[in-house]
Amino acid sequence: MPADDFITAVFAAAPYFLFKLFTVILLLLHLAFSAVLTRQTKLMTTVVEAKISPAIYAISIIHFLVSLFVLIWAVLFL
Amino acid sequence: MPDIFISPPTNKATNTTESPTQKKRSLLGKTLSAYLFMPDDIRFETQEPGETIILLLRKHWITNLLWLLISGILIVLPLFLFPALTLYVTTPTIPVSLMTFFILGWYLITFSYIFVNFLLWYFTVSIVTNERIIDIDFINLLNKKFAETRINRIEDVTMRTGGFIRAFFDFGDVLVQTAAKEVQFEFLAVPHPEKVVRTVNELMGKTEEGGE
Repeated sequence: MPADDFITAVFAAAPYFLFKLFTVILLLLHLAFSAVLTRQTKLMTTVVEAKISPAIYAISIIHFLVSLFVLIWAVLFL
Repeated sequence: MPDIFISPPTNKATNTTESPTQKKRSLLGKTLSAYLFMPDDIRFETQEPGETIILLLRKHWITNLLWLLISGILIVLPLFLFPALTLYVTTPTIPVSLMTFFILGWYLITFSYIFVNFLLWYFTVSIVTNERIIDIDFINLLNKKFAETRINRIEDVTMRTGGFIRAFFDFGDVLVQTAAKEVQFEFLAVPHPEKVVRTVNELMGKTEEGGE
């Protein structure tokens, strides 16, 4: 079966599954981005140490956790 | 202008009359300020013992206006968009789980956008100490530029300002020419550029006096 016929067949058979697959891939990429963001925030807060530095780092960790939560939610409920 | 070699007076009498809310507000304002004169609660990575921060500069808050506006739109848009979708798109009906996911995803990405822009603004700083000038630039999340020079190696300090917005909000660029290999230090869009130039010139004068 040619590739484009196969893709058309998959889209016709399970459009919702494909949507979920792409969504999960995007959320995985976002999770990787939030991990990098958390790491970079840690580095930034060591370069310039201010009173709110721990709070900023805590926000970056919360951001990572929320990102993970959305990914898990999408896998389970979408 | 206060002498930068004398620590600023601590006005304990006025501090005691401040309410907790006022204290909180002034602390937040001080923390998020783009122009800090002799901040006592900030340190930087390569700070040497006995080295005092005279000025800590960030880009003027007005330079954040574009991303703040975009963030505002991104926050408000779903409040109108999603009810409209549920009202007008009836066939096929959007599942609740899909709608919840869109809302979660939307606000997650909006928050990421706000947080990254805030981090880049907050940690991109120019520092003037009693010994050095330090320029820390976070070009993006992964790229950092760090440059420093001693006060006694500075040859010339100039400021560049112009245009209605810069004049109205009193911000501009300060250019520091050094004798070292780094051709120029650029403090871009910093508040009160004339005060910065005056402070650096004063420091240069003190260093020359001390060296003679």
